[in-house]
Amino acid sequence: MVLLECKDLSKKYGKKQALADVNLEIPSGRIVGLLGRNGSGKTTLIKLINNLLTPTTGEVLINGKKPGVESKNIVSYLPERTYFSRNISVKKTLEFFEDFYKDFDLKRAQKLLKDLDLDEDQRISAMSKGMQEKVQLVLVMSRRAKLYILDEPLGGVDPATRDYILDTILTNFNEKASLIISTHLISDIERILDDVVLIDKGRIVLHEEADVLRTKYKTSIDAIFRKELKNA
Amino acid sequence: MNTIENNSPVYLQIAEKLATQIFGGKLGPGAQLSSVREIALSERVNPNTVQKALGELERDGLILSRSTNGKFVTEDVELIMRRREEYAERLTKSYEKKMKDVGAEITMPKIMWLTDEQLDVLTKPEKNKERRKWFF
Repeated sequence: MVLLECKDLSKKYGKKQALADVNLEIPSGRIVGLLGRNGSGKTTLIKLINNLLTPTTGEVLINGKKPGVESKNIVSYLPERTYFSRNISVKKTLEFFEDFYKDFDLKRAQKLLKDLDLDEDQRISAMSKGMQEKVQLVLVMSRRAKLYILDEPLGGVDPATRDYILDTILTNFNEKASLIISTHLISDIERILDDVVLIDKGRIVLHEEADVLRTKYKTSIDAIFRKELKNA
Repeated sequence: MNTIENNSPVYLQIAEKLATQIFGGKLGPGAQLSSVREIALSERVNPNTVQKALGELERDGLILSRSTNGKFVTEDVELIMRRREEYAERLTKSYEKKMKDVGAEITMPKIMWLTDEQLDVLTKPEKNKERRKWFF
C-alpha cells in the first residue's frame, strides 16, 4: 500500500526553485532516509508533506488524500526546530499532546522520558537544546502514527543518545507504519534504513534500496552520498 | 567481525552471522531462531533487513519456516556440513587472496571432510554432549 505519494511536486520561493518535479512513492512498512546537503530541498519537501507549505505545482497524497486534518491524524512530524511553549513543564506538554492526538500513548512517552533521564517536572526553558530535542522526539515517537517524519532528529544529540534514539525507533515502530528520516549524519543511521532517497538541488537524484546500493557500489551509503554529490 | 559494517549489504552480513552460529553449533540442528524483531533489535538493524537475511538462509536450506511457529535450523546435518565446507572454502580463498596481495606466499591446508565419527557427534547432540565440547 502506498502511504505517501508526491506527484510532479515543485516549489518555488520567488524565483528560487527549491523543489523541482519530485515524484516519490513511499509504501507502508519502510524506513526511508531522506539524504541531501544543506539547502538541497529536504525540509521544503517535508514541509510540503505536512501541509506547512503550498506546492507551486503538483500534489502530495497521504493515504490517497490531500494533506489536511485527516493526514495530521496519521502523520507524526518532528520539525527541525522545537515548537514547545518554553514556560511550561514537560508534564504539561505531555498533556497537550494527549489532548491533541488520539493516537498519543502517554505511558510510552513517560517510559521513554524516564529511560532518557528527563524530568517531567522540569520546564522546557530550563532544558538544554539537546534535552529539548530528546523530549520532542519522545513525543513524536509516542504517537501510534502511520507515517513518522523526522527532520534532522540527530543533529543536537550526543552519540550515546543517538544509539538510544535508533533503538527507540526500531522498538516502537510498527510494521505497517513508515518512517522518513532526513539527516546528513548518514553513517549513524544507515544500517536501519530500507531505502535511500538522495536529493540534490531540489531534485531526487537517487531512490533505491540501501542494500541494493551497497551491492552496486560496494561501499557504504555515506561514501556513495559523498561521491554522488561531488560529481553532481 | 561481530559488528555490522556499513560498506557491504547489511542483509548479507546478518545472514553470514546467523550461518556462522549454525556452522559453529551455537544454533544446533532443529533449534528455533529468535524472532525477526529480536534479531533486528539486537543487531540494531531494520526488521525488513533481517527478513531478507532469513530469506537468504532459507534459500540455502539452512533454515526452514514452520507455518506460524517461526524459523528453525534444518535438521539435515549433512547439508549444514556441506554449507559449512563451502563457507570455509570461501574464507580460505579470501584469506589466500589477501595474503597474495601483501606479497606473502602461503598454501592453506585443504579443509578436511568430517569423519563418520564427527558426523555422529553432530547428529546426536544429546548423547554426545561431552564430546561436542571438545569438538567445537
